[in-house]
Amino acid sequence: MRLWHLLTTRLSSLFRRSHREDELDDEIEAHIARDTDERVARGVPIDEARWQARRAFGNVATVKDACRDARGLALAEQTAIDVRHAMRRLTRDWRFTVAAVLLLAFGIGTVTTVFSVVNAVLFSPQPFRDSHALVNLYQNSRRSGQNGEAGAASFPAYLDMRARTDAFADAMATSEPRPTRYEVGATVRQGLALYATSNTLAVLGLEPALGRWFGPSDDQLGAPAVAVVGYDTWVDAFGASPQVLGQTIRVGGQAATVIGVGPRGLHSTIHPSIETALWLPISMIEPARLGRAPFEATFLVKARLRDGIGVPQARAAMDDLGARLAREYPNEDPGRGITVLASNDVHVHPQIDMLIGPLASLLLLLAGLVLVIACSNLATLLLVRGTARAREVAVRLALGASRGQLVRHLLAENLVLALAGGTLGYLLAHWLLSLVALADLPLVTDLGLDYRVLAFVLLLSLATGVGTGLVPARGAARVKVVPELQGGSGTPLSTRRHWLTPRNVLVVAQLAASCVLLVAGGLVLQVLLGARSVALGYDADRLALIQTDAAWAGRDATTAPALYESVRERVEALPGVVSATLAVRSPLGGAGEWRVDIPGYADPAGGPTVVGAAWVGPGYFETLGIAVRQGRAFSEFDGPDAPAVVVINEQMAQRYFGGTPAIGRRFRIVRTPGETDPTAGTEVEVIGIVADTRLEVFAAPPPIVYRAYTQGDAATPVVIARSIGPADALLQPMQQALQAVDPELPAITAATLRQQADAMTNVPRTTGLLLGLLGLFGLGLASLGLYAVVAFAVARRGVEVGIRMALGARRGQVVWALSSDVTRLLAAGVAVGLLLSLAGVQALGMLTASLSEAPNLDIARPTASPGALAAVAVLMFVVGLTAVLLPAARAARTQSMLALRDL
Amino acid sequence: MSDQTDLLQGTLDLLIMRTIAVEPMHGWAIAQRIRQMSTDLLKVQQGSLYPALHRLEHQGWVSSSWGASENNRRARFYALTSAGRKQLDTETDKWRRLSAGVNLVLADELRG
Repeated sequence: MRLWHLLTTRLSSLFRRSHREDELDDEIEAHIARDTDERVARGVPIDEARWQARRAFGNVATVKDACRDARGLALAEQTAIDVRHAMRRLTRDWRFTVAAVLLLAFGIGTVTTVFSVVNAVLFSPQPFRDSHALVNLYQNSRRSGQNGEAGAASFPAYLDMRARTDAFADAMATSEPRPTRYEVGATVRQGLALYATSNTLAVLGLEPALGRWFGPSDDQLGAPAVAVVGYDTWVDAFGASPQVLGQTIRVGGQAATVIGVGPRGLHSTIHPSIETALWLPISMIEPARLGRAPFEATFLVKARLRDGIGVPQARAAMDDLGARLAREYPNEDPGRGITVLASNDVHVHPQIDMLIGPLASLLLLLAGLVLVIACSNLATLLLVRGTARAREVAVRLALGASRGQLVRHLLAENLVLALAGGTLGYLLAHWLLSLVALADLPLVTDLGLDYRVLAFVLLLSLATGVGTGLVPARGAARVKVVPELQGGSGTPLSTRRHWLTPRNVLVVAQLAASCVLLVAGGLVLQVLLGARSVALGYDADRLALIQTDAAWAGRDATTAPALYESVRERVEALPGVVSATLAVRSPLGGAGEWRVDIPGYADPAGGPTVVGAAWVGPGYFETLGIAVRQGRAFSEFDGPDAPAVVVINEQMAQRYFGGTPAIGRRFRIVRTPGETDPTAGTEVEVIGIVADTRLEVFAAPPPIVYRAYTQGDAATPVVIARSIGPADALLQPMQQALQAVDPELPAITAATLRQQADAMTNVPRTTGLLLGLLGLFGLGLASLGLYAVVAFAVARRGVEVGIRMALGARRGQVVWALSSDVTRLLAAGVAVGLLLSLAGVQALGMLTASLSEAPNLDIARPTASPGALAAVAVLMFVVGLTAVLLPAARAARTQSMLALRDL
Repeated sequence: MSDQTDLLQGTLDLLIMRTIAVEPMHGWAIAQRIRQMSTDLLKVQQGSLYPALHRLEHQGWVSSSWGASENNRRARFYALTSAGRKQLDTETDKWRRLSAGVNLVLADELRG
């Protein structure tokens, strides 16, 4: 019963606050009236009586306060009062408020942006039904000398996995996301396409939003071309109109009928942040992609476990399958087994997931640095403001406020600032994310009202606001009343200050943090510059390529070569083209892999010798600008009846032939599956050695063996043209040439090699830019902080300046006297920052060393070059000194009389 | 004011509760009654009376309501709740034991 009464009293006092407040007034009035009556009854005149009664009662305001406290609704009501008071105060000091809110918004906004991206990558759920029963299957890729690491599966391997009905109820596969150009009516759009098996939705437990998904016949080559539009693309590009069904769109040049719209909420089967524009059936994949070879292993498989089967049993089944595949297809299957992971345990892909954790932490750390800078800047401002308000605080203390109350008031101000800053920061994050969307990455950047992000912003704002305000608040509350009121609030003329004051620590912290950011940005820029200038091995700026596929034009393997050749001839005839050649893929598109047997060489690990492989045509090296170091390149004489010849690159010559000249040497290329006969395969003779080329921007050149496609049966759907001028001009004419040969031929890819290389450096470039910007901004903020500190100190030492100048000090001496302290702080900040950066780089180096087991990555290891560090230090000193010397110099220009007047 | 016996907060609460245990009273009357009953030994400071009353109400030991005072003025009357009655018994007990103990010690001193 008491509890109930308690609750109702307390609750009612919370909500009926003002009612009780008024009642209290009445109550006190009634008391005083009663007392007055009493005195009147004893003969005191009524006015006198009333005055006596009031005096006897005491300080009404204090009593009301005490009652209010006793009623225990202090917190809610008091907070409201504090907040109102705080807002009045902040509106009056609007300049400070604007600066503070902007600072907070910037810091909080940056962190929120990074956090929501990380949140989207790590925590977005996939809309699959019963996802705990889904597993991801990966064939382990072959890296000589290494244990296999999870890669992707080849299509035949997927079919083998699916056949294991002892473990799986069913299994689906999709290709890797392919950037695709497709035409809706007259508009050409870019987007990602995923080729998926017909049982995809069945395995995932989803239904199409409209129409139907692919059927089993769509898994076979030769089926009519159909497409399913991704849900969000349906809304954006088709206006969510049901008329989309039956519409014809051109995908990479090929006409396809839309038969359905994908499930709502399914962005891709890989990760919810990847937006799939089009789902395409397996029948539309180039047949060349459906083999067993490792370079064709590009399918991502998800399987649904049978009832009663768990991951361990699935693993056992896959180990068994992996061993069988290695036995039956020793030349094609990587032979390293199959990895099974629960779908819920994988974010994107095991290889990528390894990087996500450290990367996310790093990004959050860096964003946190920005917040640190913003907060310490704000704290400096608050400290400065606090010292200026010392007088106000003293007065309030004298009037009876308790120090606790004062601290509470100050914290209320900070709370209001924090919430305002947090709201603005949230909006800023929205805007920043929309900028990311402009970078044309097919990512879902939907901040939305994710409760996690909102909670994060709220907590962050509160923590920042309260945390930043605590130190200044305590300082302000420690003001000594009497000395302050006596007007002696100037600093003594020559104080030997302690170094570790909060203000100094904050200033150094800001400077160090900006320094770290700048160094980080500088490092990434270094990597980029290195990447830009690295010799790819061919003239990327002069080369344009176009990729097509004869199969889509209805040609078969026998008529395709003639078709490609006619395209090549047309392209070569174009104005501005020096020469054109055919290839299986872009030089930057990776390479095939062949097992070779080289007499006199044995792999140290005892495994098969595997090298990169490329089928090229006559004029390839010339067109690409790859120097022929020894021997010759292919010519038209290397036909199907001529002896089989190869050209190798320097890497291969170095590695496998050592010091001996390679020209004229013979070795065997083994490509037939399951062949153990040492005399099988093709014996080839080396006729030339060419310069090394890079297959990826950040990886060292691998050993490559080139064969003439005229001596084999590989399809060469890529035409590479060398232009006289910049290669961009060729793109349009090349596509037109393609259309002219056969309108059915699709332009699957049309790009310059420079564009392809740049696409590989997209992420580092954006990161570097971002870091650099953050660093500069941080430096700007830190300098503003320095300026504020010096300006304030100078203002308070105006008297000292006057005296010094009256006593004959020169301007330079005065400037030095005013700024020496802060300059030392600047030096300290830069020093600390550089030390932190060096330490950070070491840590980063160790981190990337442990991650990148591939010995090929040669640029990933960051090293802090003295040049970069020196540049950052110089920049910081220049900016910092300007900020310090400006107010000092201005003060020194003050006439000494003016200053002395304030004595 | 300086030779007023300083009333501890808990003691004031006890006195108030005892006073209104008999009948509900308003603030001024409570102070008067305590003065009378203590033969002027205890003069309750009006500044501490009302906070004490509000505190007691907040803790649920007294309840208050508007009523008419003896000269027909509107006044807030405070009454003891049943929980308050229990609390009064407890506190009275404690006080009795405390004061008995103190008296014993003091009596001892004087004699010795």
